[in-house]
Amino acid sequence: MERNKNLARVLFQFEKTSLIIIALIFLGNVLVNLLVSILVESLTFSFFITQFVSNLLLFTFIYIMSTGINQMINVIPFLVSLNVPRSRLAKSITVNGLKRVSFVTVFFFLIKIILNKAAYYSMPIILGMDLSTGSLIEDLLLALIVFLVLSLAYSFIIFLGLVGGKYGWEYLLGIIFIALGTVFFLIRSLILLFAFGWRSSVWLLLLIVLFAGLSILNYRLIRNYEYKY
Amino acid sequence: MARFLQMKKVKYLFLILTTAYMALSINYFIHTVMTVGMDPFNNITAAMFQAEHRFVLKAEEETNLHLLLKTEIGQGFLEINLMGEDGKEVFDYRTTSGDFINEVIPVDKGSYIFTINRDVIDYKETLRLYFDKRYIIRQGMGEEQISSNSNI
Repeated sequence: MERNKNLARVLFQFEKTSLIIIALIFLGNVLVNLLVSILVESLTFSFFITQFVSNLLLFTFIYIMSTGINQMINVIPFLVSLNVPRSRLAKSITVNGLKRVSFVTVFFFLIKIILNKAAYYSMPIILGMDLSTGSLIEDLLLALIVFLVLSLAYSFIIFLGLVGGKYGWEYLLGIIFIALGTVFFLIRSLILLFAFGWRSSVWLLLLIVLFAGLSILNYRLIRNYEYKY
Repeated sequence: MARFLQMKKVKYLFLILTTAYMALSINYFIHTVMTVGMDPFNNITAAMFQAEHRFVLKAEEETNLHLLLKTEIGQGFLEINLMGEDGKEVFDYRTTSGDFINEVIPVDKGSYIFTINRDVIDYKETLRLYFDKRYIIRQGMGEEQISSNSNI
């Protein structure tokens, strides 16, 4: 238990700087948007709320991605060089990612609940759900989707780094091509999903399967990690 | 397995295959999405309709229509109807108050008359109708204004 806590502390030390930089950029952005909404008469307060929520989404996504990149570039090689047991490290990397994603998801859920109470702010229709109804089931479903998308992004970025480090840049580039190519092939379905929520249960299942698969692969790759530096 | 994956020939073969996959996907994207056009938000939206509006949807093969509608109506009604050539109703909807529907309407090969009839005052609505332009052609029928209440 104590070792796990120490590992978590080391992981946080590595991401502290990037977290501060991202938070500062986010705050600067929010401040500029606030000033614009106050100084420009034609813009309403709902403009600021829209900008705030979209910036928050963007920067939390950047934070989760940067955490993943940080872990695969700095944390894993550093802790492997200190002979930390690989299975414990693998578990810590996955659990810490899940903790951060859970925190972000709860944060979003709370913001959504607050926005539900703000009657003047009308929310868009995404994934075939009318977000302005304030239905708890839809809010929970949205939170689950945010959680799965962020977890998948985190797992994918770590997977990319581990495969690239172990097997070479050709595989890293190849996996990026496969991912981008699949998005191009599925663009119509993705837009229908975003606008109408078409086959959302299938996509949800796919996200769960991909996330579980990548987590297992990451665990195995970290367990067999070879220190090359 | 690890030794096999680290062989140079295997690495480059993997890279060539994935590059070809990527190129094919870009080709698919350009020819079936970009040239046809598919933005569902602009396919058909509420702002395009006043009073009664009819058009023909000619389906060249079995496909789906995606209809999403959110309405807040102060006074009046909104009707949406999809009828086959033989006069058979495929979809019929009428609302006089706030409502939200998200329907997938399967259509067979053939022609259909799509009617939107709006006679509403003090409204806020979102309408998205999406159909795959590869399989469905939209043809106008002329518009008939039946009401002066519409405040578009």
